[in-house]
Amino acid sequence: TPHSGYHYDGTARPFFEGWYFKVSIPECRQSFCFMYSVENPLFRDGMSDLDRVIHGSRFTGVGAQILGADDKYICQFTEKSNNFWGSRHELMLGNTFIPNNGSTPPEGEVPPQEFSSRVLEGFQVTPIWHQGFIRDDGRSKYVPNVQTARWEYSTRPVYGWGDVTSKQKSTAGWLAAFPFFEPHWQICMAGGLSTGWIEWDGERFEFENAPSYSEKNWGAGFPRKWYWVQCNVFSGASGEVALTAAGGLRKIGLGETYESPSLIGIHYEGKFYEFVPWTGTVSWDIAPWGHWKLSGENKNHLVEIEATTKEPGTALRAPTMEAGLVPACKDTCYGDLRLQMWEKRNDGGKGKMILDATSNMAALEVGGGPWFNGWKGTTVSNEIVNNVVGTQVDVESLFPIPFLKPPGL
Amino acid sequence: PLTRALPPPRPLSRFLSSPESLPDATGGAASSSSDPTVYNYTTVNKALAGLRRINLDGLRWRVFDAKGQVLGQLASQIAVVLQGKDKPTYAPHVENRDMCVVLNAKDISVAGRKMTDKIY
Repeated sequence: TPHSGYHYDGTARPFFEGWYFKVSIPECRQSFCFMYSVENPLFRDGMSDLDRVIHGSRFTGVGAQILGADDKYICQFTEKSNNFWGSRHELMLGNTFIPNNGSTPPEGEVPPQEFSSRVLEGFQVTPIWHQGFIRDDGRSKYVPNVQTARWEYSTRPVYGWGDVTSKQKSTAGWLAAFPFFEPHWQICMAGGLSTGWIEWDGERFEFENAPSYSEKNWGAGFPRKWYWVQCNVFSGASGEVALTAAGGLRKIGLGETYESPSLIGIHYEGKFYEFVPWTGTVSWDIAPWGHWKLSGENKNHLVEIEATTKEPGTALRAPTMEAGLVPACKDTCYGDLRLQMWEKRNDGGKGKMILDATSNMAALEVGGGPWFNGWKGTTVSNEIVNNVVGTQVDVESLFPIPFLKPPGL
Repeated sequence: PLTRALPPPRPLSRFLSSPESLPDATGGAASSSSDPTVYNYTTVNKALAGLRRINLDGLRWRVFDAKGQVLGQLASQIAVVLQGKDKPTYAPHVENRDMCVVLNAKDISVAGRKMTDKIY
């Protein structure tokens, strides 16, 4: 998809990029969510006092978090990003927290055996390969915790963000190529199949063709407040189904104006069904915890989603503007979810039912705040914004010379 | 928006950074009772004594503008923030609360006739 590459442009603007990879193993009803983040990589060795005088205080560093089996959690973080690397145009990244004795950290992808011999603690990611070992840094005693995690698995993409036969789309429109709506969001792989193993505090989970997913955010900092629903293990449907729905409160431009975009994307039988403000309407009713309800419509279809959980959830970190990588959201991978989609009749009502599927392995999240009560809303139809964002612009064709493409495209 | 996350207000930081520079008001009882300036310093010292023990690391500051807000509604929201329950990561056994600063308290509104009939 577009925006698979690492977006950092080398400037001094506040910047983070976060990547999310999820593997669900239906056979044992377990999921593993890998979250990598880099903050203000301009200051690769952390901020010196002079840096703080010139640029103001910032939060720096690289983090690797995993929400794994039984909603347990592990996190390793360093304030330095000198051993972090990311490909400018591909979904490839890695970091070495601790190199092996006498080894230099890799500065790009290396073969699996070489990675194991050079990196004691760290990770590497390509579109088709995930590998790493991390050790918890002891700062997460407030959640169910594991001490070590090790993994090696490969991934075969099935769905990107668009019809399977089409050029893949930017999740939030072509303006994601420019720092105007912040932060940005791109689903890189709405559905894939992964094969390999993950060791979780010594227990090994092996899987073959397990449903997987990946997305990313980048910009100045995480949204003020957000919710997120994701699932690709469904019953009641033939073929692969992939659902991503999310909404947030995010900043527009340089001032203090916020907007509440919400989005529902469904892949089913090779087709992509998109419910976004610039082609339709999305409504949401999100409780502070335990209940997510969404509905959407576009010109041709109607969709309703309801998800619940009785799990207490696990606090995860996010790269926040005000405090760095701190607990900012709560997740569970054991959500109960129902997804229904209809064709739209001429009178706007529900016609033929296309999809009626359920799952007990939905990933559900609420983040940011403040959450005084539930959060209810409907996307506002802003004609100017909709016309601009909804226009299908192939930004990549504006930069035919690869060297001149902005980073990340 | 009603609540905003802002950097800490500077006047408070200045007090916190140099409380020792204030004169010590442990003089004779007669002079302290007759000198309002010394009394004010004593009050400030006492007020700061508690603040010095607060660990401000990682605290988020939440600024509430009371102008035009209804007293009960604003108070209940601030209470939620003080308990940390406005965060999705809230858990009873985890300390995760923010410092609340209320601006324009004198411009608070109250419902009904409380402004004229009720004394707090």
